[in-house]
Amino acid sequence: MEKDYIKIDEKDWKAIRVEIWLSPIIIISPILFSGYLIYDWYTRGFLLNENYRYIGELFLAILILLPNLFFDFKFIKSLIKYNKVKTRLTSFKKQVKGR
Amino acid sequence: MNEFANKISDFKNKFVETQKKINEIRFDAHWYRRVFHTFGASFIWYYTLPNVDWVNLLKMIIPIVIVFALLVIEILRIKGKIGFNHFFGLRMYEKNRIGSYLFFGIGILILLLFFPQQIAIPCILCACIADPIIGEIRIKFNEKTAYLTGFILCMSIFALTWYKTSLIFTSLISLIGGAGAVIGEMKKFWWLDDDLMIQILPAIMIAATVASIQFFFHINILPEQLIYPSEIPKWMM
Repeated sequence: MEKDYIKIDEKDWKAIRVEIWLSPIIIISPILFSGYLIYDWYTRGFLLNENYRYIGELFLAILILLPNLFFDFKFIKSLIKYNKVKTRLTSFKKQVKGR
Repeated sequence: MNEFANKISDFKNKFVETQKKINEIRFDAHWYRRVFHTFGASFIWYYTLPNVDWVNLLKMIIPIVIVFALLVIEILRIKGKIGFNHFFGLRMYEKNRIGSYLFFGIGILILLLFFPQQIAIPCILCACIADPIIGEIRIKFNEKTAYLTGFILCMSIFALTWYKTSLIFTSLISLIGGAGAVIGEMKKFWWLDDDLMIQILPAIMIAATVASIQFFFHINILPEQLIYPSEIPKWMM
């Protein structure tokens, strides 16, 4: 199977922009969910002495949170890089048109 | 004249450099796909929703509507009614086939609707957490290391989520779940995506094991649920 991505060019930047708009949801919702699980474990498990019953929620929160933070960091880094490339490319095209 | 030649060569160099930079945009799609995978873990939120009749009805209808809408969009894309440029991060083999994200969604839908949360949660996590990690290790090292790490990782996920049952059954389920997830990830077909297989295969294997033990030994090894539904506010009753 060809693992390459379908090539994108300048015209497709509009599509990428849609994905950039989606990124806050993609990044924030797993973090919020992990936060909720930790809160639920703390209020219903830890404070009410029901730790054994609710500790699974804490495990789950950590399991979701750590990989999410790792991949989010990489993704945000690539987005910043992409924006830099886009700006450079746009200014270069303007230069070419000027000639 | 010499100055002109220098300018031309400078321009060429800049052009080549820019082309290289354009190709770098691929990396964006790469990490986008990875983040999309880990985002899938948010769907486990489903189990925290209150256990009330009308909420239960919505819990059944909304996921079906979402997956159906995505299916319609994918059919329109394959038929060419929606341009490729509206979809970011698709791979070449997905050009004339349903996109992986839909297989991923179908897998989650089947698990949420037809499997108990004790089976569904670790299987969803295998697709959301283990799959991108296996992919990264495959790129950085080799396939063997990737699958071995994937097996250990999936086993740990099952062990963590099945901690409420006895140690023997936790170990048994971890082994079966880990093996199922890695086989699901290894077997790649053009028409059936690994994003679906990594979720469904371990789920079927574990459900069959649980049912067999129940049938032959009359022991219910399914542990207590992992996530408890939240309480519904009075004004919503």
